[in-house]
Amino acid sequence: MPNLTRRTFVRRAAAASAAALLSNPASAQDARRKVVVALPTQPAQIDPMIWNDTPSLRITSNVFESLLRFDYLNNSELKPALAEAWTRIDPLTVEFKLRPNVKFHDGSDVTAEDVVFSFSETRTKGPDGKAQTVASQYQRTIKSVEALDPRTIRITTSVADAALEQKIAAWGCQIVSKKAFDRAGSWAKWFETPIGTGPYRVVWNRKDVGVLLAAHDGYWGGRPPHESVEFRVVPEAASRQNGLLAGDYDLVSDVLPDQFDAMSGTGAFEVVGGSIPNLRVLVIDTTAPWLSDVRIRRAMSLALDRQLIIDSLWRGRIDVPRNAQYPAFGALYDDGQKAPAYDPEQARKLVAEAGYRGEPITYRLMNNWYPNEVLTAQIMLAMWQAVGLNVRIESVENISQAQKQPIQAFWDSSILLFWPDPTALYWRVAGENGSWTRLGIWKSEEFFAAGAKFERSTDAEERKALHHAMLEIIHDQVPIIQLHNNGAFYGKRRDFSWRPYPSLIMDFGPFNMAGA
Amino acid sequence: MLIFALSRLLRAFITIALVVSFAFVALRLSGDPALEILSSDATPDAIAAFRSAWGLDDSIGVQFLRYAQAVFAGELGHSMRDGRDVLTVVAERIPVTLAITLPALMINIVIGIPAGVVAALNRNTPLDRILMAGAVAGFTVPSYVLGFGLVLIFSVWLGWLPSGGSQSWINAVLPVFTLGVGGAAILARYTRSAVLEVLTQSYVRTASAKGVPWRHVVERHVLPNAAIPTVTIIGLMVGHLVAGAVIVESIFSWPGIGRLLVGSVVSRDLAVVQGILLLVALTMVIANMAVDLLYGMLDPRTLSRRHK
Repeated sequence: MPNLTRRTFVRRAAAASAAALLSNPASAQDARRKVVVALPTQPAQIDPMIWNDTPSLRITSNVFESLLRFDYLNNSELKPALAEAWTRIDPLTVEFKLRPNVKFHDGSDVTAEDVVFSFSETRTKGPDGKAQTVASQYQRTIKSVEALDPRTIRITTSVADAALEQKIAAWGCQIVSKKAFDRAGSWAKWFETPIGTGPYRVVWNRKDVGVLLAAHDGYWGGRPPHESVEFRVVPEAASRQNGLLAGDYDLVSDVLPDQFDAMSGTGAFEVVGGSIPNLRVLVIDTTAPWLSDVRIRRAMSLALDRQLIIDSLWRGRIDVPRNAQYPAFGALYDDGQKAPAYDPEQARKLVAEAGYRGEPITYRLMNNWYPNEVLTAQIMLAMWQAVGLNVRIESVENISQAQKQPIQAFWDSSILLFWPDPTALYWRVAGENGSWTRLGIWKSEEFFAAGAKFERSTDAEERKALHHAMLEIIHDQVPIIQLHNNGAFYGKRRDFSWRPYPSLIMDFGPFNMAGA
Repeated sequence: MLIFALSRLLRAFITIALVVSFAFVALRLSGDPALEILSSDATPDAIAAFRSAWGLDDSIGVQFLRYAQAVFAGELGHSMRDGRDVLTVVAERIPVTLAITLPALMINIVIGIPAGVVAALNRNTPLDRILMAGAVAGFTVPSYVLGFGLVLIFSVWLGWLPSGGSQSWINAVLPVFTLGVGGAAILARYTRSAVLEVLTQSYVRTASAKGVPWRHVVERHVLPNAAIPTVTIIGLMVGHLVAGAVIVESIFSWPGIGRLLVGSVVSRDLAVVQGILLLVALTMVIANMAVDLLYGMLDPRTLSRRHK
């Protein structure tokens, strides 16, 4: 067979298959694709109680589900999932009515006992009871979970938690099969064959190779559109690009802006995606020399031409939220807030007022932990220099080096909107118990008081007012400099119709039916 | 011979101990695994529990003594990320890496040595110049440039070979070639130099003057004597291959030791990194010892000189 390349062979085989399918419409409807997706990393284990990192959000979300879910194609609206209905009984209590006839991957029925078990200490304490789980992030306020009858679950919180439903839909509250967990006998065995209710079940998870998921045809939400989804681990961005162009993958993630042209230039491929609610910020040690002066912090923010950074490094395809707000906040979204201003004149004035005379300010910079991190830093350095700020880079390898005490610097970070409520954003990291506050780099009794009240309030008007107050404090005090939303871009074959969500979650199930 | 072997063993032990100690200290000074592995919202209690569970709250000295004691008992610890036994985690990657490094070593030898010999025997001819130009190109092109170049040609443009992965033997073709080319080029250069040096020796001239057929001169006098420096280079190639595997495995998404090392360093999975470094140090030491023993076989004078 002269001149028969692998690609020619694949094309001819595909054409032959297509012809065969067209001659038999029934078969065509039944035929489902074996999708191959290239990602840079994979979860160490596929269990939402253990990991909520980026690869877990992408992969594990296809395997496990919670009582509620978000409709990402509809402004993250809360929708029923394993619960067909839910009712707020009072500020501390929510009752859920289980959807009937929902099947786990092993064919068994989902029961109230499974729900109670999924929130039990056996799960939340994790392997060896070391509490190396994400439970505290989402279930911190939950006091008890009880089955009132075979289909009714009551969740009670220790304090009023207006965002409880959002947290339940978000992560760490997914329902697992108690029988399958007990049958496994150990966490290690459970990790090999975890059993959930999602549109796909785990076939294998091989480290540095990838994860294979197969369709769960008994899925309550409809027949999964693909026969299988194989996530292959391809750490190099250039390798993912080459693999897509070579026809090895249907979809690749983490596409960088400088790859856009190569991927969309041929017509057979396209780049999809855009901004996601993952806010890139600079975190400031407000106790450090000069950084303790709010005028300097304001000047640092005012000196940044964010649109120029976005246009230069992101092809204009991401945006800057209005003072860390997202439309998914719904009624809490404050239209009066504005995106951070660019005003170099005012920045210069503030620098002069502060009496700053060019003393070095330290920027602990990681090597592209975030996309475009180093290039963004170089641009910002020039912008700060232009208003008279002398920022010096101190290279660090990882986040623990960036946060090594004494910090006396600022560094790059991002805040992912884990659930669509303001409690998931600044309050989560800069609140009284927030991870950044615990570093001793900032303190605001006013912000802590407003946030504590906001977190526990269930009164819509009061929450709106408190949210406004919290945003104003952050805007005024600038303990964090907001840069822009992060982008999540994917390269894909044009003939593979899959839609990205404004989220890190990659849904290959029937709710994202463009994939059918 | 016994004294020679014992002295080599002692030196090997010291080398391994130094590598492992350096890695142990450097890893602990370069970042806190608790902050890298746990969720960003982990509570102070969870962070403290993690450090306590993995013994990270003890001083480095105490941690090192505990680690050394465990290593001598054949226990390399457990992965901080997935809790699996390090020995198992590392051992299951060895055959995967060998699947590309051994064929690459074969390419080094099968292409590098004949090319060097042919170039030397045809010194200053167009053939010599072509071979040496190829060799210079081979070892000056970095493996990541060569690797991506090969993918572009054979995967993206021609569609003959997969761009990466480990699904079948065909996925190994490009990584093996990428790993093998540089080593073959270096070996060709060294072999040429070694052969040229032997060709100038008086016993070669004498054999030729006696009327020994040239082919016999080359086979019986030139090649065995030129083999000694060449074997040294082959020993060093093992290290080159292990180091090269780190890059090549990343380019081609090959799930071997190199990928495990990079991933474990990034995620601060200390026990796994230490396990891999111990293995690499052992491999290098064994390769060098094998070379030393081969010296003795190829040139018995080496042993007698060392005994004096």
